[in-house]
Amino acid sequence: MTTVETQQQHPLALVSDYVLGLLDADQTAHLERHAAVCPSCREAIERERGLFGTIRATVACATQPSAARLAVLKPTRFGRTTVRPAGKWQRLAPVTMLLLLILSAVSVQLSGGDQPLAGNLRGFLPVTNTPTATATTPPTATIAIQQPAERPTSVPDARMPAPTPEIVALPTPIATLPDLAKSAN
Amino acid sequence: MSESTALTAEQLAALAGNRVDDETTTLVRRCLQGEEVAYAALYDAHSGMVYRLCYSLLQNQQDAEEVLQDSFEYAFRRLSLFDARKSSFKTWLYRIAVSRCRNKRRRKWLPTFSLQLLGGEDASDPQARRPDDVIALSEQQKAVWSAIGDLSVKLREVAILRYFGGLPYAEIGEILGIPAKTAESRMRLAHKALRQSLSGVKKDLSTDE
Repeated sequence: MTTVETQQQHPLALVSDYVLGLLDADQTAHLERHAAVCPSCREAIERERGLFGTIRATVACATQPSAARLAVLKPTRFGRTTVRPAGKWQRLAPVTMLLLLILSAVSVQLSGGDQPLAGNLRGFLPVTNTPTATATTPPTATIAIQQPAERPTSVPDARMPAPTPEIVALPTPIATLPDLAKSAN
Repeated sequence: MSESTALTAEQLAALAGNRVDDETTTLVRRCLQGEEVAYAALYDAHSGMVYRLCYSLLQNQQDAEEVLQDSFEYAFRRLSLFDARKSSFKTWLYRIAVSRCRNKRRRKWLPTFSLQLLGGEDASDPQARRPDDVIALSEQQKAVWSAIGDLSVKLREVAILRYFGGLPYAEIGEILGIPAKTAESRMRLAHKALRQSLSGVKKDLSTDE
């Protein structure tokens, strides 16, 4: 008798699957019909069932809970919904956002003072005043008319009063422009 | 039982077929109405099997107790999300417990410093964490328990749900988030591994006798 014929007559390979409930209805019926008339297959099924039962009993015995211990572990708060307290990161989120806002404002301020944002923050952050007015040129004519100070080219500052021309007498004669032109030639 | 309650249970049973546990469904409904007695009854009815499942998967009593508490707190907090038409309450609860066990196992892989090391006890030794209950087992049962612990996590999950829970493979797949055929193949592998491990133990026990 060949191995295949033996397996067909004694489906021992199906015994484990039979005990584990992995066979379909036809295979189960076939094996049960065979086991009814074959002592060796019946014995194999009993051994496999014994192993299954031993494992099951061991799990049940090893994991037997204590009723008293289960009672201690019973949750004390019951309810439909339980509002969880805010976690650590949730509580720190507003502080983190505030710090980021301040850091971004400081970085913009340091990058350039003409920025509108920087201008708006002048009232809150220390600002170094930079002079905007230009230096005036000294008068060159002997005539007593003192040229008014050169007006600054930037936006006129309302705080600085407009200079007014004055008539003054100079103690020493100063070379006039035509004389300077002749000497240069 | 009021007429409205009976009618609702029948409607659910018609929708979910054989999956609906009438008593459990009634308890869940009473819990959602705010009855604390119903919560306690639900815990008493299912805590034993959840603990056994957690202990079998984690093989550590302290971890199993933590996961048991965590699982029930989570389940009670989200009881309104349980849908009896999709699964039974036991399946839903088992799914939560298995997920918590996996999280617990993952956290154990993180590097931690154990104060036990200062006392000279080797915290990594699994025998050091074995509960005292294991001592009460026979030699054969200790061997079986050790063989179950030697299985990979994937095989152990399926094996425990089948050996102890007696659950059908479709339900096991639903709990573990795997196809039923995958659950069947893993069960076949687990049983084969346990048979090989225990065949040597049986020979040793027979020679000792």
